[in-house]
Amino acid sequence: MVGQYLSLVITVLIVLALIPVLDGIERKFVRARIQSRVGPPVLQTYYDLIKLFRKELLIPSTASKLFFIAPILSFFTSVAALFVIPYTLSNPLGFEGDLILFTYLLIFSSVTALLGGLASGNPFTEVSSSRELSLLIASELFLGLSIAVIALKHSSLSLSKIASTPVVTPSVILAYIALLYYAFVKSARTPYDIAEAEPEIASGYLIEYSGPLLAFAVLSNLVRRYLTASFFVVVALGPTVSLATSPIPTPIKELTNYVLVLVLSVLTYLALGTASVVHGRFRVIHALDSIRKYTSIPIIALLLAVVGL
Amino acid sequence: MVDVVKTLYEVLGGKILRHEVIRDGVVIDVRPEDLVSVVKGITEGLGGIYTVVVGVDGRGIDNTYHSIYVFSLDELKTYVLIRVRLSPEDPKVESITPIVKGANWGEREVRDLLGIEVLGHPDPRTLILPDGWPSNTYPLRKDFSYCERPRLDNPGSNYVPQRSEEVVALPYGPYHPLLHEPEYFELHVKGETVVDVEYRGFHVHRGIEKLGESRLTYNQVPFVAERICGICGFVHNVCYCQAVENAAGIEVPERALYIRSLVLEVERIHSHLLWLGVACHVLGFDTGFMHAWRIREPVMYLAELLTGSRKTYGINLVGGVRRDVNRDSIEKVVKILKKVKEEYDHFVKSLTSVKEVVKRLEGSGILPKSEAISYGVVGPTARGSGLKRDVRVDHPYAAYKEASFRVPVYSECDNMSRLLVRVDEVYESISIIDQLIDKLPSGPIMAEDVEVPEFREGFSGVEAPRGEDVHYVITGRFSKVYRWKVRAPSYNNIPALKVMLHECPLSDAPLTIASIDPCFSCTDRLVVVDVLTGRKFRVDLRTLARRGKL
Repeated sequence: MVGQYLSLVITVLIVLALIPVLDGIERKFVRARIQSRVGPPVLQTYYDLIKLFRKELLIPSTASKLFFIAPILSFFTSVAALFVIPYTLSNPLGFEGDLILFTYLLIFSSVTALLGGLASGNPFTEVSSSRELSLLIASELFLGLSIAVIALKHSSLSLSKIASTPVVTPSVILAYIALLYYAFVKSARTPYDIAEAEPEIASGYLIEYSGPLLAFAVLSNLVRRYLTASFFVVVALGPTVSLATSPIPTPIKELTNYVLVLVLSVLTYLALGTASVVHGRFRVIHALDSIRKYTSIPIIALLLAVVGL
Repeated sequence: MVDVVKTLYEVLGGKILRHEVIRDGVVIDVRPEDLVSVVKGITEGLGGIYTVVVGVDGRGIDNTYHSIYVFSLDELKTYVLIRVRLSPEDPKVESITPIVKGANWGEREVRDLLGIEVLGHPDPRTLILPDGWPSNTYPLRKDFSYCERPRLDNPGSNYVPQRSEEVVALPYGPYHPLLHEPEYFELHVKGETVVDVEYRGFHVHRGIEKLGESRLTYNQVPFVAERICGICGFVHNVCYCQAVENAAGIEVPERALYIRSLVLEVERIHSHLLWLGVACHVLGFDTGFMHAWRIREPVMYLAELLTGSRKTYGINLVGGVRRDVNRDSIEKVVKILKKVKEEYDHFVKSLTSVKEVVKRLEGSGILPKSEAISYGVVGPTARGSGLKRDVRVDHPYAAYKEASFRVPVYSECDNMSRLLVRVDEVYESISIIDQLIDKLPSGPIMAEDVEVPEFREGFSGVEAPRGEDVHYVITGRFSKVYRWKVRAPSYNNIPALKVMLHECPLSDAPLTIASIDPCFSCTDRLVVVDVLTGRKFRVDLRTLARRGKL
């Protein structure tokens, strides 16, 4: 049992260490390649973060206490969500209902980041948070519906159970597609980076952050990007993996699953990054329109699930 | 020209005291009390479009102040300069801003810098001078020494943007990632909609006109003029030289005219590519940004081939050019241009296939044609609003008569039309360069005897990438210029932003501001003054270094 906890902690640490590198790979081999640039070194995000952590802590005089706490809270909540993901077929921290916990942590992390920015009292953050909130409300409905379908078809709210039981019906497949799109929206890359929108609202909710606090905010954003990609992989591709390897003894199956989930998460992360490069930024109303349009996918999925497909 | 003068007399009758035909235009003298009715006659009767207001401290010439209102008569292919002479003790003139919106800034500038009082002007604020500038101190008057640095009274007005429950004031500037130069736009935003805009500029007015009039000789000015702008400096350079050549009646050799046109078009291509990149960046489409600038790079190399420098060529003098182009480099130019055109084709196709980009460009930042005329907007901003205005056609200069090209005009009046105008213009420029290279005549590149007589007027326009750039020159004694007035294209385009930004979604506001391709350094042109705090500072290198350490 102790070994299981230990391996979970080690796994989360590996993932956490990997995330800035992943961003570096995206910058160097995806974005720079497509934009025909040389691009920064793969470890650039690390260098950025190290530099930020070494800088002085500046808090604007108009800011409230939340300004200081929020990015740290946001970061640790997103790390907490990393613990809930079943990397192997079972998770020692897993329980019936951790699916709800995971979504809760994910949303909590993005909301706190936003509130922290809002607490700075800068007018740009007001615009930014109103944008992010409308995006959040639209996309969480999206997430809620897809999760409902998956939970319904698996008759479970446990991530581990969902990840290890393959269910392939039209409704669930639609829900998987919806989750992938959700990961794209949630990654706050173009075209959905309307809350940051550097040329428009000067990085929005991040505008007053600098130094270590900015590092926390940036890191938590990167972790959330990984979380949504990995969540899709665990829920949608995890079961298929275990299906393909079903006649093999459990330890090997666990190991393959472990490696595959990590590799597929990374690939999904980079695929979403690639998709974003060929897009411009949405106007707020267009972003909401597009989400509204795609909300029909999980709604159809739910209807199909209700009639038993 | 005879026709023009005749038409002017027909329309204006006895209000013209006297007229003088100069190259590129007609100067008419009118009484100050007739000014408003004359301007009405020019704009309504002849379709004149406002170009610039020039104030001259003419006390050294005929002991009066001059206020010169320039209108472009595009159809008659000439400029008309309406001059009023004002008393040296108490210069006063009626405002024309109520009938010509574009004159707002020009009249305020004349009031700020020369102390010519403008009666009935709707905006009493200063335009260029900072808050707390001492009264009765006018920097462009001849008795104000170039070296004088007056103390500011009451510096540091505490500026706080107005805020209310519903309307948020968003400060765009003086430093903002959208703006690459210090300017201040205050957008009043209700929800996601812009309801009002406040503009404050001239943070970096560098006093180039004063410098040119007091410290430089007429052949040094071109080099300073080229440094007015960091992107399209050559247009200022050419425009100044042409103004002096017009004043002095110098005939420039044909080969020099061709070289000027060639370099101007190269500049237009690289400037438009730069703008397309910036527009992509503002739209969040960084891939387009990077590719536009990659395609631009060979064009910079091309400029180097032709002139020896990527930027700030310094090849112009009054009377011709200093550096000839050789045959080898011309062959390379043709090859490079062909490749640029191919890559540009591909770029334009992919740009117009990104749906977020197209969606945001279409229907945003509307500038109706009537407003465009009233504000006297120029360049792609005018042509995107259905106005067929191009100095290269309306007031041909350099070698443009020898090339055939199309003036792209779009009448949807939105950001998309302004973008399409620029997209098309790059193709036209490439074709112009090809044509000019084919015809390039041989011969000298510098006029033989360049003599500049004193107190002659010259006026000239050049189509910069951003629109019509005009320079007005009065030659002076001892190889100097008596008065040098620069009006960059953005000077006329920025005030029209108020119309374009009204009821515009906030997300499109930066794009709309960028859509006129504003060039703030051109617009500003004196002492470093922080307008918002009213603090004026001149930072020397040592303090800068010390501050950097703190």
